[in-house]
Amino acid sequence: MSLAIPNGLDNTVEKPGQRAPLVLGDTTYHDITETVCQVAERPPSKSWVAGFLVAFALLQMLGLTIAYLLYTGVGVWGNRSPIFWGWPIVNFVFWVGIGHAGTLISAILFLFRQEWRTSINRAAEAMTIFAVACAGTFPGIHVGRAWLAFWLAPYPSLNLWMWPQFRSPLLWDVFAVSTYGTVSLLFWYMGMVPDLATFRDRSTNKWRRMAYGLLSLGWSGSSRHWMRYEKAYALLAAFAAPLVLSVHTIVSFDFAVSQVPGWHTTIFPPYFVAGAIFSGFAMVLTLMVPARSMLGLEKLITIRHMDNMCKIILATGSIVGLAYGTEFFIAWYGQVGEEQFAFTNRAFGPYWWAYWTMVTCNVISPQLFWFKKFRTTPWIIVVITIFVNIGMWFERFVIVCTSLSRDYLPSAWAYFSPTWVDWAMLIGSFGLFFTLFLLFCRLMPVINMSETKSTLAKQYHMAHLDDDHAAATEH
Amino acid sequence: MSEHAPVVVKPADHEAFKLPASLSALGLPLCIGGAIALFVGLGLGYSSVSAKFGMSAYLTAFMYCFTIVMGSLFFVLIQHLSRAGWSVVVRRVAELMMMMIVPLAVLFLPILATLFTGEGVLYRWDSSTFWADAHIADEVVANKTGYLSQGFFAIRAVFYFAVWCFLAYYFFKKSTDQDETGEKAATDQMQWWSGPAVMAFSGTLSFAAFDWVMSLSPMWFSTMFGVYIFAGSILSAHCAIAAGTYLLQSKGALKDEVTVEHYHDLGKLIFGFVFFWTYISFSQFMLIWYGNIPEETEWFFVRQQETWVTVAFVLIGLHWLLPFLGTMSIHVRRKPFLVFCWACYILVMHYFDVYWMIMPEAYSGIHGDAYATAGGAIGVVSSLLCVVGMAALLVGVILKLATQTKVAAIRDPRFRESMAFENI
Repeated sequence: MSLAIPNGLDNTVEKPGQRAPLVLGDTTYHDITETVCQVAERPPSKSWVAGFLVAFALLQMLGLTIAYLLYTGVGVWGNRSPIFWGWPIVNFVFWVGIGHAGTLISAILFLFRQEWRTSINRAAEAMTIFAVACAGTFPGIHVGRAWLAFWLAPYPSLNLWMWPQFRSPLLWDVFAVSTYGTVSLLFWYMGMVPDLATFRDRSTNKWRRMAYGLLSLGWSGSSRHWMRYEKAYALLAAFAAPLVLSVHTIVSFDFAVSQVPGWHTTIFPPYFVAGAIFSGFAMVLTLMVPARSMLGLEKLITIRHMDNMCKIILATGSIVGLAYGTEFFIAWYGQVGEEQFAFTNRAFGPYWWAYWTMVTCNVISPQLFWFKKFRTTPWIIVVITIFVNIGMWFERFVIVCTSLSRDYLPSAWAYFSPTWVDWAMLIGSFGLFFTLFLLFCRLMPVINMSETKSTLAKQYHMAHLDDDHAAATEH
Repeated sequence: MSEHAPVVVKPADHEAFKLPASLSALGLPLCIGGAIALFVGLGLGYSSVSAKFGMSAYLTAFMYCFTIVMGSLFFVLIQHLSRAGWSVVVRRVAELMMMMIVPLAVLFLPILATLFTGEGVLYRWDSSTFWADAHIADEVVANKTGYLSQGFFAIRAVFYFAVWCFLAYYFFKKSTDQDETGEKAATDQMQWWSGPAVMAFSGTLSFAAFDWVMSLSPMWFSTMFGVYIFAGSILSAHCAIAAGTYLLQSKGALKDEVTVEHYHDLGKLIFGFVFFWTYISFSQFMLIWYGNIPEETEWFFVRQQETWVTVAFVLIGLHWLLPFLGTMSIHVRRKPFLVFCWACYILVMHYFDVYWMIMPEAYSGIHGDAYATAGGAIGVVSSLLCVVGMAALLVGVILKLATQTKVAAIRDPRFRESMAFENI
């Protein structure tokens, strides 16, 4: 029995009063299972193998540079007085930001009953976790003696006879990011249990069956299981929703509680959160657009899904633009010399190229998404979202480096130049991210099958409600 | 998901969509009574306490109503932007409230008039002695007075009101015309325009916040201030929508259309925005407190003296903690009467928030006046008369307007969807 709307329909057009379908083609429940499972069950494609080899090589580069750093010391980086926070912190903030889309999609869009989240939430949540893993690497190695990073944990150290500095937002960060990572991981894993059970049941080889059997925690699909599952899911969503705000808020506190001009400004918390969602969605699109065609998921991840995500990018990009403008205006309005200098220096000082790259990529490029053509053409989406990613990396670079390089003491001023190790680590962190993502595509259910099926059922139900209504008005 | 009950949409001319007679009868008395109360309140403050006090109380009342109205405008825009289905049955309440931006433009005139009738009656920057005594470099004074000048301030205000009145009128007209025509294209057009409208809204609201409230303390600045005003707006608007809908239902309108599900949703949003308001106000406070730079702490310093510190604690305890705990439970949110009570309660607390934003500037110790006692008993009476009067006046105008339209966007193509949706 077919429950869906015929293929070829443009589901980006929605007649008011009639919801556009989110699952396309002559798709049945069984087709959804087949479409998603074949991604993991068939032998890896050549493009996957090629992509994996490249990503894995980059990951090795990250590993080797970390080993070199630990062996030699943080002097291998470009961090110099007065720019003690160089690329490692830029990369940290960048990756934490990337990790915002997944939990926003799975928690906040769930609470807002946005049905379209169902086919993208799984992959986005996975990206969240991988991005947090990339992010966590940098402060871990930035402490210099990475083997003592556990001092960040709040316990009264017997060696030092002291507690971590609770008044420091850097410590709050440890809590914020680790809580976020934990809850995101739980959320992701728990949501996967029913689908892992499907994988288990379809396994033809003993080892796979055993592995998925362990992971699916004895899920039998009984209504009792489903009842518990749905309750737990809603609760976790409620817990995760404030975390979407808190993580980047606290990352913004790292800067904003200081007295450094250009850092100390009250709009930082919401502005950072908007920027994080902006960059997170951009990364999700950069990866999902090619992945959906490579893995044959076009009927489940439709143009409408991408259209919606592009709109979120447009909205958050505009919020970020408004924040840039507000900062500039208030720097002038406040008439505080240091603050004014910091902003003029950003735009017209030695880092002007970074500033204008940031503005072009973050504020101007997403404005193209006002046009439907740009929101619905896959290759254009990839290009724009890559620009957004570049822009958001530069945003953190501009914030960190421009303010620090022009300290209160002009004789200490310096220009930050990254070393080859900085470059290798940034590129290598993408290797970590892509390796994990490609493994996820091969080993885990990339789309939430059970929820997508319920979307399909609802789609069918709504279509029939409309039929009934039409029949009723005719009589 | 439970089974749907059959959804029956009543014909557009049904009684359920008309403003109940008991409410429409209140329109004129509220307008007249409100105007008198506002006039007496302003006069009392102006003559018995001081011109500055009277005008500050008036500005407080104005900002209180203004934030609710702007929140309603945003509510309408965001529903169109997100093609929301759930909210259609309550959207007209917000649409009626957002139209109050037109009378508010008139009510802004006395505030504007203070700039031209005396030196620093309301805004300290509107006085040459303020700048002379401020011990500030000439260049800084030149820059500040370039922006904070009578003419430029007035031009900006006219511009903001022009934008908002246009937006409110456009979305109101389209929606009420749709009641007659049932034209689906109107929904498409509103959806299309909601994007640029939100952009125009956010830019102008931020700057209005800087101009009208932040500039009361001329040298103080906070980039978050626009967001802070917005947070109060969106919270109070959701409360006003819930309370307004409840009142309509209690008088017999929309009985079957607005269900417990809509209150549940409004309750969730109120809960969320209580938290959002707290998040924004705490972040603003914490960053300034932690940075401890005199140029910035000035604003909070004034608000930590004598009476104001009490108000600050009232805000923490009763604007955040109590409603946060109170609206958390599903059992509260699914009881329309309790949602109504919490909505009214938060609307009262919202006044404390606006009061705390504005009134300390009328009575700040920094410039030699006594620390605040809110102008004594007369001051309290005058402040209350101003806000109750202005709110009553606007509610009266809303009721007058509502007699000419329906109380729900009955022919919105998503009306059925809105009636049928279920939370659990």
